[in-house]
Amino acid sequence: MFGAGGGTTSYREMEETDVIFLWGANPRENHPIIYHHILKGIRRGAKLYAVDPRRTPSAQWADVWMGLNVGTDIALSNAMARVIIHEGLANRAFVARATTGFEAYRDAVEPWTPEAAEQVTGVPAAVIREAAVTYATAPRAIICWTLGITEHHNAVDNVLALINLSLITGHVGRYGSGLSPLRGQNNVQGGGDMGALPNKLVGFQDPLDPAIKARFEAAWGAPLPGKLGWNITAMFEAMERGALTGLYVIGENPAQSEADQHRTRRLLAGLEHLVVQDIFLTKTAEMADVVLPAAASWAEGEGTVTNSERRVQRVRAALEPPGQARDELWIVSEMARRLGADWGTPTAEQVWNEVRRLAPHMFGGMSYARLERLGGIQWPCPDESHPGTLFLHGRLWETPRGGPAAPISVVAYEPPVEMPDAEYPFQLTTGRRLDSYNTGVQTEGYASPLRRDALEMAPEDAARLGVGEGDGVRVTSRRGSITAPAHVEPGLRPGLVFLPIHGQEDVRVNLLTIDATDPKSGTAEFKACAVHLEPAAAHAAAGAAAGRP
Amino acid sequence: MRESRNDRGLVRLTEPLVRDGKGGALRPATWDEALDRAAGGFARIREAKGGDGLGIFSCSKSTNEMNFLAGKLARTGFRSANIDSCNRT
Repeated sequence: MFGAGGGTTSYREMEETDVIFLWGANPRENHPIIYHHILKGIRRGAKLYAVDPRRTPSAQWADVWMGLNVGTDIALSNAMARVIIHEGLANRAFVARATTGFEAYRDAVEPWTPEAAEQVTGVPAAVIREAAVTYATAPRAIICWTLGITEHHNAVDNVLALINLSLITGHVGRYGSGLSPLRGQNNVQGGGDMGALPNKLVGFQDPLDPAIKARFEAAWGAPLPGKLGWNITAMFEAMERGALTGLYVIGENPAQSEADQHRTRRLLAGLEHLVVQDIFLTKTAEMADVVLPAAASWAEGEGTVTNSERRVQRVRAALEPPGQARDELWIVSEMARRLGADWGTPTAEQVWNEVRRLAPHMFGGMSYARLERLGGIQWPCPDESHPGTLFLHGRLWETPRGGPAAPISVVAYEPPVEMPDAEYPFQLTTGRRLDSYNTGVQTEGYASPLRRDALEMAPEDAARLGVGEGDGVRVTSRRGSITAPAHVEPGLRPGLVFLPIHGQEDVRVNLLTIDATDPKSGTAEFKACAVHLEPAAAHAAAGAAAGRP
Repeated sequence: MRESRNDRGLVRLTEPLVRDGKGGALRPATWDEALDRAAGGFARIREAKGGDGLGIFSCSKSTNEMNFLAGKLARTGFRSANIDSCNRT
């Protein structure tokens, strides 16, 4: 969109801004480090808005909770844009110097009056107006988002909708104003930066650009594939038709983390050759033909990782790996050698220096010595006299403007792919909690009084179903069925239920979720599917009466 | 095979494991045997189908250096661009 895939804004800017929107983000539970920076901002007087169907712990802390219906974010942002434009609060000078597409966007949002948006989103029109005016008139404002926006079939459009708001108000490319996707896994940012992507080489370079391709082929002494590859979604589709039959899984657990678990496990089981490299024998590793025990990268290995403010930091070995577990760089290098790509056994620093040579525009100035001396450096950092880059897109404010104009995009509201109906009348949304991490492999081993792998439902729904706290509920979607204990949660509206993704041994949420993916991003709509609920006791009794085991 | 789980959760993997045939159980192996089998299986599919037949799911909790080498392995070893780093959940 803007050229490179990273958040624009540094953590310290969150401490010095005037307005923060948490849009589909619950950092008080799921990004505690970032939340500490947000708290400092609040203490200095920043106003906090939480846009979320659930009244999460972050929403409880916010000045304003905009409790919209699941998947109505584009309706809300279009309406906010319309208010901003009609009130004369758009930054017309910035729009003229730095953007394209304003007129088409203005026409597209015209039908989205606050009243129309209230009908679709459930957020009162007055609240929509106030939020829009506050965002537009704030001296500095930051929009943070995460999976509430991107775990939808129209993920990319949802993100573009938020970018639009920043572009029509000039809240990007300057200190204290910007766009912050809060990255989840500790180095998911780095994975993309390093070219572990089907369509980018390290530093977001285009594998199909002839000059870039030639440079990499010369450096690596081997031809590069002549076409882009498949992302995870497309790889699963290739497994379905028998085209992709060999898979190397490194430190991921798709047998538990992917949507539509029955389908995922069927596809993994059908592979001709599955190799898993991990630190634990996960459910995915149990299915493998070969399991390779790895050192834990953050404590038993050397290297670097990159966080949500583009800061590359060193990680260092403090422990020896257990037993015969080996360093990951050694494992991958040994695999490569046996496949005819012999690059020796480089140290982490040697690998990093190759990264710097191949992507100097991003990492050229980040020697290990400088990273250690400065405590981490934010990309881009092209040479050793460069301090790193605090915020992105300042070029949009330069005279003349640096680089191309940023496009404002017309995006249309679309409800989630699977909405509740007579047969499956409840909407299920999923998410994470503070005490646990993803599929629970690394966190289930410690006790926590907070842990609660339960189906959360509104008090009205619990009463109507005749279900009390802790009672078993059978939850069924078109794809599968599970039983979970109920938890009555006043922060939910009637008709909406919530399951955490963590309790994968007992509460296998991904048996229910739908694999409806955004074709542009490959993310599945984990945030919305339709389910049927019944008390587990009633289900069991009916089963006994019908002769079911 | 050693227990993979104790009463505090999963225990660390400490030895390579291989499966003798699709219906068999995982058993301990040396690093050489495990790596030979792992790479051998990928090489067979690469020769039969080309890089389209192979893929890598890289690790979003591992280092930049590991992810860079995984991308290099995909393109120069697997001859495939089918690599993703689990950034979609």
